[in-house]
Amino acid sequence: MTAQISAPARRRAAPTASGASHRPRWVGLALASPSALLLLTLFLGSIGLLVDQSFQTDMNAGSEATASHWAAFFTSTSRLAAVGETFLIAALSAVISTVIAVPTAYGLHRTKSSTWRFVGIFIVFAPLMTSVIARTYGWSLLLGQKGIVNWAVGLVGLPPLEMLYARPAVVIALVHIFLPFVVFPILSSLGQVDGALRDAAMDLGAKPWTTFRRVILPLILPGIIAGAQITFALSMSSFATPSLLGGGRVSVLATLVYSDVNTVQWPMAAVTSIVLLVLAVIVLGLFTLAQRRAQVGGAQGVTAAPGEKGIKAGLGTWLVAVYVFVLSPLVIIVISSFSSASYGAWPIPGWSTKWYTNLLSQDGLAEATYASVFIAIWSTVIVLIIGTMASVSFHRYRSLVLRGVSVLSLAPMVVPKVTIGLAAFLLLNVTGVLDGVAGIIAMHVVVTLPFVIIVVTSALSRTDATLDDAARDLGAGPLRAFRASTLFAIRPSLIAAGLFAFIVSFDEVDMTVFLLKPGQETLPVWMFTYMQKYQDPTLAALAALLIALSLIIAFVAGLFLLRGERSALTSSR
Amino acid sequence: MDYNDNTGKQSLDAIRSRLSRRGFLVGAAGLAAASTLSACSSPFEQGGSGSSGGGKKLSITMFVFLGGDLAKMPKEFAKEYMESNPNVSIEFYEQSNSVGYGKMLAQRKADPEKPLVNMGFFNTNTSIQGIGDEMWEPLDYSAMSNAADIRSIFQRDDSLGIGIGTDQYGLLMNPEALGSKPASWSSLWDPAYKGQVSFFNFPWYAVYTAALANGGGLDNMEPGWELWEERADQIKLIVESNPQYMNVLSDGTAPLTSYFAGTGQQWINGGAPLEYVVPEEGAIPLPVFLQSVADQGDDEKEVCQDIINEMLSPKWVTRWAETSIEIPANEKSETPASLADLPAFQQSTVDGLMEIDYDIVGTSQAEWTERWNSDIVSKI
Repeated sequence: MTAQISAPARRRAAPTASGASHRPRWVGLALASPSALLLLTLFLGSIGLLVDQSFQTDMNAGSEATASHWAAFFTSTSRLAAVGETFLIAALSAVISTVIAVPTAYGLHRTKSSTWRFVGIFIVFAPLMTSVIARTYGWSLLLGQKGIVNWAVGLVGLPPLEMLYARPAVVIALVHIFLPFVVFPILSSLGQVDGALRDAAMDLGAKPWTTFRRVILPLILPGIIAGAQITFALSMSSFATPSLLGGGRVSVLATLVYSDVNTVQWPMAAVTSIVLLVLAVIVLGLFTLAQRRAQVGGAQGVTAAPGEKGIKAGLGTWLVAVYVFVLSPLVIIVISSFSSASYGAWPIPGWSTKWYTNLLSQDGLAEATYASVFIAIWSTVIVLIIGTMASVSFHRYRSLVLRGVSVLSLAPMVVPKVTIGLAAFLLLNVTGVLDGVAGIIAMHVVVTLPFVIIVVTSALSRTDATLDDAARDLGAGPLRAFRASTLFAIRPSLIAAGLFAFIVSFDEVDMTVFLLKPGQETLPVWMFTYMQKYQDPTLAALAALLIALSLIIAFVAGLFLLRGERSALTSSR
Repeated sequence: MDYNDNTGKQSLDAIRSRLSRRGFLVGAAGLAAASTLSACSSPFEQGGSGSSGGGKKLSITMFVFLGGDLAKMPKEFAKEYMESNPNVSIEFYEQSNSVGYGKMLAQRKADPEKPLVNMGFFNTNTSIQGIGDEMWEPLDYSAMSNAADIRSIFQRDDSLGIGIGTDQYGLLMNPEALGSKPASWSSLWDPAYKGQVSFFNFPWYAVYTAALANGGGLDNMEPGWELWEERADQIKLIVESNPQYMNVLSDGTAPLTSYFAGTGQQWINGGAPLEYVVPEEGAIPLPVFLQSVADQGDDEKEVCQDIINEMLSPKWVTRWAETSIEIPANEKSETPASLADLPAFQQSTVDGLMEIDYDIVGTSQAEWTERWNSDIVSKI
């Protein structure tokens, strides 16, 4: 048994198990074609415009071609330092997120009570329910010189820590928001691990740590790599958190791009974006290679045994610590939404519900919410379909073209959204296609595609391809065989991918603000607009309401899950 | 291997038997969701196109500032204008100058004859940027009855726009947290306030005033750059949003800065423990211009000029001053009573406003920003 699950053996088995050689090549290309078409037209079209812009003397059409902006970039010490800072921030965020996420996901997976497991998953997911502005505000109150963390540090007689408006605050906030992006792929991988393997290892005398290290960890490696890949890429292109919590001391490429766009220096914004894109594609390519090497062959079998659940005190304490970390800034946001002061006074001087009253009297809020939900639902449906098709193609078929498309499909995640927005706005206007909301949905599909592909590809690498082959042998058509075996097996990952896509689309502002016409607003754009106009806790009230709404949805979903679980237990008796 | 193969077939059978019913249900749910979505109308069908019911109307899109009550006066004006000109429809594009102008320029590159907006309110930097990009249509001052009443500093020799009012940069501080109330630009680089200064993005005015105090000026900013390189540790942080700015000033994290008098007053009115102080060397004026966009149709040009002229009347300039907390540009306008006692609106403040060559500021902005990020921000 041990030999059957050892990593080197799996790697040797992978190419034959996936059965790539038996499948016609055109099917793979056809499956990837919708995604490839979108990427080649909208994304590469936009990048093409950026490349053209990077060689323009200025923003006016027909200006002389020049490489001066490229030369300026590579001779600028501040820009080169920003390259290093970008990598450092991304690496720190990815590594710390992963180190926190692995035991967290394992603890959640092993939690015996499905109610507590559900609550835990919801808590980890909660940061995605709030806007970056609200989260930043929460962190500034926690990490400031006179903040709650330094108050606690002072209690043990230590001097205050310099965290806010420096690199530590940026990394902490990035880990906070990106943690769910690592936890969920790992949870999906854990959901696919045959419970009998752990039981077998324990029966053979392996201690829990040895079992985790030698059996579980290698099997969930694709999920870990997928999560780290998403976090690294998102951290690389992250703008708002380094800007707001770095206090000017954390200069990354994305913040420089925003500064260039604000001063209408498009050629330099284009150069910086392209450099960021190229560096990111190289790193993402390395992640993809690592993912392939970590791929688990499909021939080790699935007993569908859930395995025994239950966690020891240490893991339980870890989960509580993670919950405290995740919830702290959100609790601050909810409390400050009831502050009587319009500015960030802490402790709050008095209680008031006036910001909720103010929120409900705002014009355009309902319309903006409807627009966001409309765009996010359509984007999620489309990206789930075409992203899953592409993932299957990348996983099961081998060709140079598909490999290129697979790396390209991850690129939209790392280009600063403000540059994609600007370039897409130009592209859609020049070509005159996809006018209005269709263009916005198409661009949202492009930017959410990497999330679906990373999560689903990682899940596919844990599926048993022989099930698909068996179904075909038994006379099922290709679609039915895929539906009955593979699609069923990757269902948890599809839900996670859909959730990510929905949240990313629902929360997108930097790109969307360029694609909206005068008079049009989505909810994040409405929030951005409000923030520019008024500086009061109304947005904290909105964030608190969104958290409450997601709590209600989670509660209802939890009730259904529990009822289903109980009825399953009853029927099994 | 037998074990695996058997398990695989058993699992498949189990899955298949479940999926026949499940598949149907999921498919039905998917179809229902798709039908529901299709039935829902596009969220933007009613907005943005500029079309209107009834007879054929000339549609004008006006760019207005994003911030405080800056859209109030344009919207009140539009309501009245449309009542007296029923053949004109006015819509608004409410956005920051940086994002909004970027889109205007992108649209101009894509199709110059279909501008994103027809006219609007623009800050000084955007106005100068627009001149370089040939974005503006010259106005015919002689055909505008109210232009003659506009103070000369708000008029341009090339007629590419006209001012409606001016905000100003001065010192904004939290006196309690600072422990004093400095009244000179030099307080920004005074070692007594080391580590207590914050700025929003790139504060060219801080470099300019430092240059001025050391023998330089807009055409020779070197003394200013040298001073800030030496005193970069004065700066506690650079902020990127107004809420963050107000909070770090209010909670004493970085209680001294230089910012718009209007925005500062808005925060003070909201209860923030701040004070706006006019520097003894003079405040820096920031005129707001009304501009008409180039390459639009003749009818649109004519209406834009008429709208701008109407907005320059004493009534609307006063209303603009009141809502934007700015000094009015029209000589016949009165300072609103709500503003009359504020330091920014005293005659001595108006008389002492510095003279700024915004052509230099506008054309140097990108180069200065790069140098600020490279030489100063990297040392804070």
